[in-house]
Amino acid sequence: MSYKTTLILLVALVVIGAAVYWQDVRSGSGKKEEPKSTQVFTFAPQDVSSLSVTYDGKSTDLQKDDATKWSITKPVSAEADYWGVENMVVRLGSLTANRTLTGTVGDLAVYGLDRPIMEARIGTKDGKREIIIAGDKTPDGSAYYVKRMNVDTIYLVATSIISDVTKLATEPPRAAPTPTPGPPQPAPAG
Amino acid sequence: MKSQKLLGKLPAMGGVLGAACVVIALGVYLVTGQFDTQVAIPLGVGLALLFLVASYHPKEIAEILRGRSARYGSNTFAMIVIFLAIVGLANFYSANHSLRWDLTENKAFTLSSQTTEILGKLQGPVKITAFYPAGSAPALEDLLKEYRRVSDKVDYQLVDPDRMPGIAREYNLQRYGTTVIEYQGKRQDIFGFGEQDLTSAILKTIQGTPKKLYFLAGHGEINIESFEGTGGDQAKAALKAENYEVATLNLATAGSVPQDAAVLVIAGAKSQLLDDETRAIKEYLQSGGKAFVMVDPQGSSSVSDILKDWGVEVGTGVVIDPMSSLANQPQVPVVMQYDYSQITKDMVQMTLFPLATSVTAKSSVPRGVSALPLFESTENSWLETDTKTIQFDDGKDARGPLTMALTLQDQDMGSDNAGNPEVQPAAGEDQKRSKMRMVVVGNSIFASNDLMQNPALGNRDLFVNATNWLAEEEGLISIRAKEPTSREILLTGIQESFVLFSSAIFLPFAVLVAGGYVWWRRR
Repeated sequence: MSYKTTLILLVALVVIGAAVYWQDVRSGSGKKEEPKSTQVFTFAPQDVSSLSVTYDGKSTDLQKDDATKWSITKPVSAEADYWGVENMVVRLGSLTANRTLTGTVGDLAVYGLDRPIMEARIGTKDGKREIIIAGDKTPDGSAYYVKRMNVDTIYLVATSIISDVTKLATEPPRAAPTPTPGPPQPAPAG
Repeated sequence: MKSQKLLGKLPAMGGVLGAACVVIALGVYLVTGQFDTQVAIPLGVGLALLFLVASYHPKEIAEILRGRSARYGSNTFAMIVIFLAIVGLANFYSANHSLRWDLTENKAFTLSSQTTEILGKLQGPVKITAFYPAGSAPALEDLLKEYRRVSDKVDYQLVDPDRMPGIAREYNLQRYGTTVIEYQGKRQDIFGFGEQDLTSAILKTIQGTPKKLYFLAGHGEINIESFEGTGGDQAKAALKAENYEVATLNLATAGSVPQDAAVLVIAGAKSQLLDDETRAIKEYLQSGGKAFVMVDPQGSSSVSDILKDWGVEVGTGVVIDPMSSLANQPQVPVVMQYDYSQITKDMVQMTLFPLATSVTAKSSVPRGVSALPLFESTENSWLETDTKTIQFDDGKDARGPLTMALTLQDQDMGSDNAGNPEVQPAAGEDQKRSKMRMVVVGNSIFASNDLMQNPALGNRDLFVNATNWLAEEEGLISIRAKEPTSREILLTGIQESFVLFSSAIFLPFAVLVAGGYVWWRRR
């Protein structure tokens, strides 16, 4: 039984460990991979009580009155298309970024986030509020730069989703009017 | 009695179960990489069981720990842990710091001589900006480092367009994966990231307006638009990569070879040319045109007639070379040695010429024109005139060596120009540069897609070098970067099973058995 080999291995471990520490860890040159895709929000869709979207100078505020009814409170007061709004809330709740940029949010102007084209505010039953803003499109036009308030991460979110969210502002999701029965049509002659 | 015996065994069973739980937890953690309930529960249960067992027999445990085998065991355990830590750290270190040796057959990771030569010609800085998401193009980054290492005039940057959209917009980026080459106010955008793509783009910025090459069409020549194995799409692509503009030419409708033709390529015409076409080619050559003529054994006699005017006789049979040909295919000569010429000076790879014929310079070569062979078949070859039976017929078949390719050129621009790369036309001899040049190859199949795209062959280099010489672009004559060779192993079901059982099951099992045996012996 020899402890000599163990000692030699221990010395080798210390040497390699020191080399790694000095050249990679301390200098920060180690490769850091950014997460490929990330969930933007963590709220549960059923907890959402309000949704407001501002885009192109237009705003729409939506309020969930009960489990089966959404109302538009701005720009007009009207009943909202329940399934349309619920669908959007679910999509927002499971919103996934194509890519996340971390540690680069110093200059938001680079991504157009200093003058966002869209802002969405999501209120939950417990009084919390999530706000996201969308800035420029990425150079290839496939995604928007999106940022959550008070979170130092920029998300690249598919253009199609942001376009659908902005539609809430430009086309408030009114409930489809219930068709009223008209006068009976005369049967065709002959 | 039985129940007492069972009770006595419980601690041991608990110990085994506890150890098993810990191992399971470790295994799950290694597979999933996440420390969640799937890991925490078996780990907690395992540790708890081990703790219970230890507390049930504290004296025995303490005795074991103080024992000789415990000391040995703990030392071995420490050695294993330290060794694994060393391996892990060494792996981490080597992933970030690497030394490179190019051991690939084609030297796929070493810059080609063509790239080195072109980089050597740079008069000013060349800026290469590659737009790729971070970390997605490590091969390109390595390649650019090599370019930078060869020439300090190369300045490159990798731009993540998502992170730096401002630069992307500045370059009016349309597509990720674009590399922009800027040189002396000129810009080239490319989408490939191989050495050939980059070097070609740099060349285009250096050269400016491309020269135009015309491929004669209408007589069964190689179709440069065809992707088929016998087509010529690869030849076209190879020439475009050298900054040539490539077009087809129907002489019957055009009437004459266009003024802007740098080279006329006749790639294996099979049928007769119209008299007007023949006359147009003859006039073109007489007026100092450049032509790349490929002829086949059963090719167009019109082309043979044109060559006859220049003292070149096209063979009527097929070159059979048993000494230097593909295995069991003597009609596919393999050329491995070349005569020294500017076209072939860097050629080291073999070239294939299936069903080639001979092209012989006769004494009737016009005065003032030099004819120099590029390569020949071996002494044991012959020109088989009766292909039904491959056998040398004395008095009927011509004996080798047979010239399979040659160059012709007006002598007053330096007869030894093609033969001697040292001799270059003197400055101020630009007028003399408009003299005739011709490359004649007794085979057109060598320029077909199948052979041009085979990285193991030098057919592509030979074809492009010959064209460069004809177009008076001698500076471009070199060996080009090879496309990476795809090496796939296709296994049958039995072979797959063999690999699986021999490596994944048999070897670990053998190690386990050997370990068990050693343990048993030492026990």
